Amino acid sequence: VSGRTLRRAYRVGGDTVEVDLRLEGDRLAGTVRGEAVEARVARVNADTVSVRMGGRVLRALVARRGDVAWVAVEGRVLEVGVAAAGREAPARESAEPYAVSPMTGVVATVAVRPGAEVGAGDPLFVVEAMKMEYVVKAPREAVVKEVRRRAGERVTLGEVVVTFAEGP
Amino acid sequence: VGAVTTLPFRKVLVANRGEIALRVLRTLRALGVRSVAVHSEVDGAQRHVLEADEAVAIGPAEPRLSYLSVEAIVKAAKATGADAVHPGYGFLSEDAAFARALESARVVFVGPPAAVLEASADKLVVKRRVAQAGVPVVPGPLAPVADDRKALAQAAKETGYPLLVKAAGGGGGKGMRVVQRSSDLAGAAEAARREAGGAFGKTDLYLERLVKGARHVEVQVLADAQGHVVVLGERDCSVQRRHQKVIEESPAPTLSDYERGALHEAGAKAAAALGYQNAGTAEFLLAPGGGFWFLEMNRRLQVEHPVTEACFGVDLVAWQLRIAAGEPLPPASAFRSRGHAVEARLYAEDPENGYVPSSGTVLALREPEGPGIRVDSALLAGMEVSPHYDPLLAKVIAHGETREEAIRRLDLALRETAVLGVRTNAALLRAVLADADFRAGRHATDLLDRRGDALVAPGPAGVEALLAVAADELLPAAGRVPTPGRGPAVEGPWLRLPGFRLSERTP
Repeated sequence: VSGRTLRRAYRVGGDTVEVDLRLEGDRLAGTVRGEAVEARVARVNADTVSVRMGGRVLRALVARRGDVAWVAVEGRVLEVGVAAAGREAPARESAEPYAVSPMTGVVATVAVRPGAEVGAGDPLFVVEAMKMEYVVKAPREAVVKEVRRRAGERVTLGEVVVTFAEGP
Repeated sequence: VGAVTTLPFRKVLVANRGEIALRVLRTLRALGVRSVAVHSEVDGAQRHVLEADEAVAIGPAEPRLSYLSVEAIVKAAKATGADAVHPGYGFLSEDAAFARALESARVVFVGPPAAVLEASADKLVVKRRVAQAGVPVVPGPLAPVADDRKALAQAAKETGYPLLVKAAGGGGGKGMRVVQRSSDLAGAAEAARREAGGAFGKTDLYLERLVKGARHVEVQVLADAQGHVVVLGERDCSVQRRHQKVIEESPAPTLSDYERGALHEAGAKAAAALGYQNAGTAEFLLAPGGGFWFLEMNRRLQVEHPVTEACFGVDLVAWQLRIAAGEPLPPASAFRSRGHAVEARLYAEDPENGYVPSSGTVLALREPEGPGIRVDSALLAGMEVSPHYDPLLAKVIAHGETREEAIRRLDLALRETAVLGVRTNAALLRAVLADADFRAGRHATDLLDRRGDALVAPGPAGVEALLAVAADELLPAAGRVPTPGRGPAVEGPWLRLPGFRLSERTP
């Protein structure tokens, strides 16, 4: 069986970690952050991988969405950007034709008006609660249809604040 | 403590969603009662729908138009021929109009009778009645403050700073303001009045002293229609963030037997003073120097009821159903607590980012099991965590002979817990369990506010996690066994058996 190699710049938090690894059989070896590593790996089931390293065996839950791999090891979850160089993970898309308040609070500011064209990630409105501000962003490119709340008004968790016009 | 009689309910509708709906379904299944789930437009594929015997769509995603709609739920109960409705917690669980509407429709409300909910809807009235029964209440005038500056200032002087301005008809932190000094009083009162008017249609306010360094303890009661009140111990819910409980336990650590006895008696007195029926919880503040004050009565099943169930070996939902059916309670001696239980609430929120609620698709999931471990969960791989609803995903409960054992079991269980695709507070929960003040039981409700940032600070990424990601990229996908040399890989159960081949040639 011929081996497979992987050279990536993984992104974790604000860090970039250079990974240069080769899998032969169940032996995964190479360098991580420039340091030599060696482990025995196996797939336990569709979303679980076991990593045996220096006498320790860990079972990691791994799942991908786009260019982000989520991994849990011993109760700790990491989001790892696994895109090949130059590609960025796309913003989380939502097909819902509206944007809701993520918490109960007061609308601090509204950044859009009906008819406004917004791109994915553009701020729509800001909700404030318990001295915390949360910016609600457009989930995708869309045209604003309605704005149901004004600055200063109360909103509840899950309340629809901005709706989008149907279609692309 | 077992059932004596057969329940008169053949079918019960669960007017809720998420983990609590599943919790109620579990008891209905155990009792052989048919269940009806209700769901909003976006919840059709949620676990509570999949695990019920029947399901009814009740409206759009917005809670106001579905889970909070008295009309829609009463209609669903009538249409399905449900004998009773269990409201869970939150939503309509303490809504007197809902209980009244069900009564009119001849459907049993599994909770206090409408008359009890109506008579205890005003928090200040409750406080006054409990005080009259001889139970100490949180200091503050027992009358609403008049809507004028002079009266307000006088009431504040009586109460002492810092204080809380509270809406008598309030709940869920709405219409509540913390006031540190007199110069902020008028503005805070005005804001609270406005908020209360908008949310509850009632603008009565009252003042209460803000007790610093207090712990939150609460007494679980069961009260039947015959007037018996039984106390099922207490719970300590002092690990909170922004008035939201995060970790709860029973019994409360560091209470002396004398204090515990006095607290239980006070809880029973409060329930009796309100003519309470069904399962309820009397909340108290435990002052740093000893002594306790009644805070309010929760007239529903609490989120944290499993710690009581673990210690007492009871099913509180089953008792709610029996009491609602008119069955009398056995004597208090029938209920005994054993060992210690701790619960951790897994929320879809991001502690590293100001606890902002998170939403999205659950990509993969692992839930713990083991001796003394219980998981109350609504999680399902592939499910959508919606921003419309409460971010509570699951509760992990551990029981042990001692507090230390329960904490150790819970920590191990949380280590085995993983939700991918949606950010959760799992790491924070384990950090709290490891905290020295929590371990010693000397934490107060300000633990997370004081130390939250330090508790959620992430460490460097472990090399094992990165190797796991790399291995996942490099290893063949599950269900696909590489077939060297011969044709494409085929998915199927036979190929998962190493060395087993039907007709393929050995390479």
